[in-house]
Amino acid sequence: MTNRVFVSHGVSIGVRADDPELLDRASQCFPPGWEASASASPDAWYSLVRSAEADGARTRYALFQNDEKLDEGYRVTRLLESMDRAIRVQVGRRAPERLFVHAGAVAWKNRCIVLPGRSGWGKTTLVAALVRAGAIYCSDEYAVLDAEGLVHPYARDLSFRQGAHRRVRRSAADDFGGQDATQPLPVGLVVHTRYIPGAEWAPRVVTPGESALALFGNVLVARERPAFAFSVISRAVSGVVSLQSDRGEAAAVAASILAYADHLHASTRGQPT
Amino acid sequence: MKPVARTDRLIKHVVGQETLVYDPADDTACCLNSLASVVWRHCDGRHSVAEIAEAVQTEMGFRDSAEAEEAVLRVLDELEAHHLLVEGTSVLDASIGRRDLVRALALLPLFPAIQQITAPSFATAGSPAPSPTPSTSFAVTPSVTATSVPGVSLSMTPTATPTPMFSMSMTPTPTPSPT
Repeated sequence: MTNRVFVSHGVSIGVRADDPELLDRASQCFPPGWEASASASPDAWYSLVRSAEADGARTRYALFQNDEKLDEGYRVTRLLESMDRAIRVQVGRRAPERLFVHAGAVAWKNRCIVLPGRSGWGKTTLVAALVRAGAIYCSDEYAVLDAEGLVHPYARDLSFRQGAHRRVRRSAADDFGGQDATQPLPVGLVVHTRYIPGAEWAPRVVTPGESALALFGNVLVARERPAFAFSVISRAVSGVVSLQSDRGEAAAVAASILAYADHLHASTRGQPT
Repeated sequence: MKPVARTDRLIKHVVGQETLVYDPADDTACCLNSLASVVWRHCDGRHSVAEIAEAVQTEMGFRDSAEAEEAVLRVLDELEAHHLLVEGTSVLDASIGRRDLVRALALLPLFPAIQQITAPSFATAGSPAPSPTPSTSFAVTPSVTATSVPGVSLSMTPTATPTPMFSMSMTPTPTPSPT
């Protein structure tokens, strides 16, 4: 088997495959910002193993996480998606100095706008609308926070879910005129929202504690590292305005959010430091 | 009876005037608003309800002691419902007959004083959400300070039910009935 080892947010991951071509395809699953590593004993191994059927007509694949079989089947694309998902969770779970919060994030005027929420709440659509309106793309899946509450870019291709089967279509931010963030930024605004068809955008300010609790509800390691999560989230929302509202179509809401962020930016600049 | 706050195994964190509490026993997380934070902080087994009310009146700016005491009793109801008091230190029995409906209505913007969620597990933190359910609006407590902003409303009027703005299941906070 051939293998590659990389490090992402302090977590080393090894990926093995039966042949170089399969390994190249698997490498497309590495998370944003990964760096190659020479470690011989990464925190976790992912192995893509293939075996011909008895008649040799079809190739079957199996995906292992260390010694545990995670998935198997004939479609390598599906197994790669499973590996992609497993690696992202593994990194988010083990990252020693990062807190992964399920959220979209964009940068605007050197501050980060964080949009927490679970899959299916319309994060990607709203993030894309914000990017189309001029914001810089940080993530459509995780807001990656450090101990100081700064948001680090996690700019993998946006994942749009479509149709009854919620198939994923991926697009890079520059596909619609955007660019990826490159630097960690402090949080400037938190928007708790989800898409409800026909809903009116009527944002209200919520308290830092309420916002922190809602963010906590989207933390990957909420049960495993609650004290760390509280500490990081509290720093992130300290002195930050948080809004809450259901929303309808994304474009108008994106414009409203950026206008409000502009207002906050202007207010902050007017205050004595 | 003087109420005593639970401290065993709880993870606490102060956010401004509010308090976050995580209970590993049942993986629930709570946010105590500023009023509940003051009350809970004084639940040390040494302060009576009247004394806690006095502290609340001072720290929260209540106009009169009766209103502050009503607020304390209602918070204690919620603290007990969320298992944040040591069992056997409840003052609820003693409070019956001392509740005042008019004062309770005046205090409505401060309640529920505690919001709770169930912390997500790995399996649910990144999983697709169930079908969206009709939403409700979110009451902003008087502890919020914000300037008037175009396009953003600040509602000081409480809604009938707490908003499930959280991604995980939310345990409704029981609303005590004034007696």
